[in-house]
Amino acid sequence: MNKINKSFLIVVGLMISGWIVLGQNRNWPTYGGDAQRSGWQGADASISPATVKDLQLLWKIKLEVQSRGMRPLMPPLILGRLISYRGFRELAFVGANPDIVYAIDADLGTVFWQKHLEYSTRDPQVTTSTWRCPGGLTAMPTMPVPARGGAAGRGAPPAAGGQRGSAFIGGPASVYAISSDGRLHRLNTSTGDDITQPVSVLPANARATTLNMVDNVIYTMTTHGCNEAPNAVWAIDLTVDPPKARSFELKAGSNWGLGGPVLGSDGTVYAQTGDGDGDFSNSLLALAPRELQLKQSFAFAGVRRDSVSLNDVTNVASPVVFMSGNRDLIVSACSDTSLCLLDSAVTGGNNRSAPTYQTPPMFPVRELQDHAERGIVGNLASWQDMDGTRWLLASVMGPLHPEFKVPVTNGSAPNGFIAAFKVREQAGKATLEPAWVSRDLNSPLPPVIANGVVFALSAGEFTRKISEGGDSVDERPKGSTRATLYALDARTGKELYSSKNLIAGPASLTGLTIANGRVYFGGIDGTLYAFGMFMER
Amino acid sequence: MNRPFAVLLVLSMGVVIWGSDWPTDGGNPQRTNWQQNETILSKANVANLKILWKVKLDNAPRQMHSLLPVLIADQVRTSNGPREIVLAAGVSDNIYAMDASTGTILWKKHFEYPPPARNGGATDPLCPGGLTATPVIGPPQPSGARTVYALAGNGALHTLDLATGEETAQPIPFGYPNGKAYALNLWNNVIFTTTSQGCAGNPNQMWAMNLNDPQKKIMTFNPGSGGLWGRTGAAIDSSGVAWAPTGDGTYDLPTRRYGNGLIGARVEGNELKLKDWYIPSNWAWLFKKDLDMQVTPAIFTYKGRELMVTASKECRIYLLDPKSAGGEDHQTPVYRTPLICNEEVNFAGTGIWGSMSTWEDSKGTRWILAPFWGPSHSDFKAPVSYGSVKHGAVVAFKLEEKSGKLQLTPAWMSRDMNHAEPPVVANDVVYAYGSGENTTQAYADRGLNDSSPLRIAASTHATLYALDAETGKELYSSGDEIASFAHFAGLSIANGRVYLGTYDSVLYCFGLAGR
Repeated sequence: MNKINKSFLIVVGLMISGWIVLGQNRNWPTYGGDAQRSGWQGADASISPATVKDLQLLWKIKLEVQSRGMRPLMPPLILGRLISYRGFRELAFVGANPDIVYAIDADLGTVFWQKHLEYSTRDPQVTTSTWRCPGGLTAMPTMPVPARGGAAGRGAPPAAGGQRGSAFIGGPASVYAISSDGRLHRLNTSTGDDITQPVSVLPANARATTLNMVDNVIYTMTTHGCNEAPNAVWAIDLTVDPPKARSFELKAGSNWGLGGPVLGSDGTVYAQTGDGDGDFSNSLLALAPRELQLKQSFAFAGVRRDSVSLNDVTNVASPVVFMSGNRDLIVSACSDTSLCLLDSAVTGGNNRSAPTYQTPPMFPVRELQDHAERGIVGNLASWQDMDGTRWLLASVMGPLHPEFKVPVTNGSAPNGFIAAFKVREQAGKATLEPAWVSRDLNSPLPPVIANGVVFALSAGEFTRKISEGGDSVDERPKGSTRATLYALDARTGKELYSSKNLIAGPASLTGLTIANGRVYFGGIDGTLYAFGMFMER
Repeated sequence: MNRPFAVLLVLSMGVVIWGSDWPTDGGNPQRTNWQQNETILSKANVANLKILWKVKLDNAPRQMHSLLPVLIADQVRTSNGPREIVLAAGVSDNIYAMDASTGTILWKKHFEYPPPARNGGATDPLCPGGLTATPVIGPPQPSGARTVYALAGNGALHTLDLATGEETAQPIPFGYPNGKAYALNLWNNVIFTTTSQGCAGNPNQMWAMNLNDPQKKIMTFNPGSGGLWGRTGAAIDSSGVAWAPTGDGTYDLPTRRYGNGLIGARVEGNELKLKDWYIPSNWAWLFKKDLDMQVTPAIFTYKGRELMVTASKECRIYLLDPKSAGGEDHQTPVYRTPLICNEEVNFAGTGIWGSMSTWEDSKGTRWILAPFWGPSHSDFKAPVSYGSVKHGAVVAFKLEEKSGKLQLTPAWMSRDMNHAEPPVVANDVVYAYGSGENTTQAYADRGLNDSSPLRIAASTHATLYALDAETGKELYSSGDEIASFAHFAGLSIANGRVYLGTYDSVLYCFGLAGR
């Protein structure tokens, strides 16, 4: 009998390990896949450098969007397995700018449900759209994200006096969205219904960034001063009833990064600001979780501070955080043209100006227009290969700087590229060692990585003309331009796959999702694309 | 009357007097669900079917399980002369032997044992514990005695005299307590069963024991993945290979995992060895959507060639050759139907569940029957049907040869039934039933919640139908006569009587008055 028990346990262990190896039913619960915005799916046996050449356009579906700028459709969240009343489903939750959240059947490419987040607040809805304040749904929804290195609920305060927390937590899995009226919704993943009455947490008609949710706190940023909402970092605490929204006002230029607030392994909230007036302009801030007290700030040197007219114009990617040893390393775009690596273990009070490491300039900036057309954009990405090497990836608009030395290039890159670095540690000090630069890409979106393959999306050719006053950008796709999806060898940048002419138009400038053998992104026309490896049905 | 004629008359009467049996779940070790010896019920008279008797047995349901399909043995020598005995097994470790004519209980056996340490969840319908394997009646011995083999809920195999209920041997360990074994099968003195759902922590595998082995060694084959929950356990082919579906699991040959397929294993010496397997080429899709291969196959002969049919929750039927179940790559069936139902790709409440049925008519046409739950697929068309199907039906196919290849050609689809269950066939009549069971496992507001109390409360009642086997036309319906639903029960038929047990532990016997 004992022998049979042992055999059984071995079989179960094989099953469990097989499950992980197959990479099925994994989630992509938030932008970038995790609270650190790594963009890394981890192991996914469905995709490899050897097989990605067989990538196919599996399906595409046209969703409703409005002509409000270049970011109408967000990359989806993925719930790898929902056992619903309509069967086992892998669902892709997509935010669209008409205040709609869609649940798309990720296998079939059909709408499973859709939910219009009704505008319902005293402040009238702003219907006009500008480059700075496009309106509509701007914050990519999120699902709860596991805290790095700890059980769910780590860091959450114990219940006081038997308090259960708000109706926004507990119970079945949910999707959280903040609609344009500033109300927080908790949506039933099976039906899209509001599980509880939505509550106001942000100013109406603000421009909120993508949401991040750890330990029952939702983090976001409001930017660009839309509808006079302050630029701020927000923490919406769901453990109290009603949920409590705290903010840290940035008094700084707007963050253009797609990742919004990024969380460290200890829960520290990292927020990057843009060019502008104020103490925290062009800075990386480290805030305490939940309460948002300032822990540290880091001002980046070398950025133009002499022109207020650059406020909000410069492209600044949001940072990425990863663990190295027993501390976090943070990489951010520290100036217009280079990356900075910061060590969370190095203390030094506020307003530190010397990073642990700074790369050489990656692209040239010669004139005002370059600030709109060039930059390290979106958000940074990071992954770790099987021999323990940590990699860092950056999406760059603009030509490669002629003096930027990198051992491997993949042809000329006059319009844009993905740059890959290896994180090296010597005597306890980390550096970024250039590894490769990709082929030429137009408006490259932040890459995602799985099993040794980098997926990069060339969003298309866009014109970005700074206004005479220098305070806005006329951004639009060139006629008949189209996006192209590439798969690159993560260690060399070599092109392994190109979608060629499969994508009909330019991409929504919001990013990619990868999960369970499929890569997703949206088009400006509202088309959601899914590329992946064929599975017989 | 001259002498030779008298002898012939007596002999022919003896054949008629001898009657027919239903000694195992599915009617025979091949699980065809076909009673070949029926002479009383026919298309001409089945419209007059009625409840001859019904008996409420003192068996307590466990979760949704109650009475298993009955076994029937005719001409059993008892102290009161030869009797036709109906043997009913209840999940609370009860065995009842009843007079088939009247329903009178001849004897009852309850298996007593200390409560096992491990049980299923308090409301989990998947793991009821107790006696879950339909027993099996062995062939007549030289003395005329018949032996019942029954697997109690503590994993002990009991050997009983069918006439008296007396134990004729010490109970033998043959499984795990509360391990959810499925119907026993007996072939060449080897007992087979299968286990599933990992109930009470027990392994999902095929089990065998050679009853002639003095050591009574337990032989097992573990497919490494999935669970073997074909309703009638394993079906056995002419070479002694036991075939069973492996349910929801993965297929990976290097690590010897055979989930989501059909495995065949045979006793060789004192080991149960894998001989062959079939895995659908879209097994990864079946696994992802929980559309398991979980239907006990039916094995039959067609023009001298042995074949078998099985199916899945995906709602396809597979035609396979037991000599090479999936061809060289183990993934190529002889034929695979398009989807018959489950257009919505759901894991509960739709698909083909249970077991298959097959029979051959007097013209030599081989028929294949399958039950399914839920609406029929919008692309599936049968030449003969009886209204739209929303809740389930029985479909019938003819096995035909076209351009040198075998195929299953749709023949008819029955009327709508509330969760159609595996039918039985006898004398050109198909007996089918809708179980009336609620099969909801997930809800819009709360997600997955497979709860016996919720499902029992939402269940209705079973309905027995008799259909023309060649056209599917309804010849009889029990209407509202059956009070309760049936979960993982089944039909049995012999000697002009059809039996069905329900959740409330009532055993119904249908037949013709006065016959």
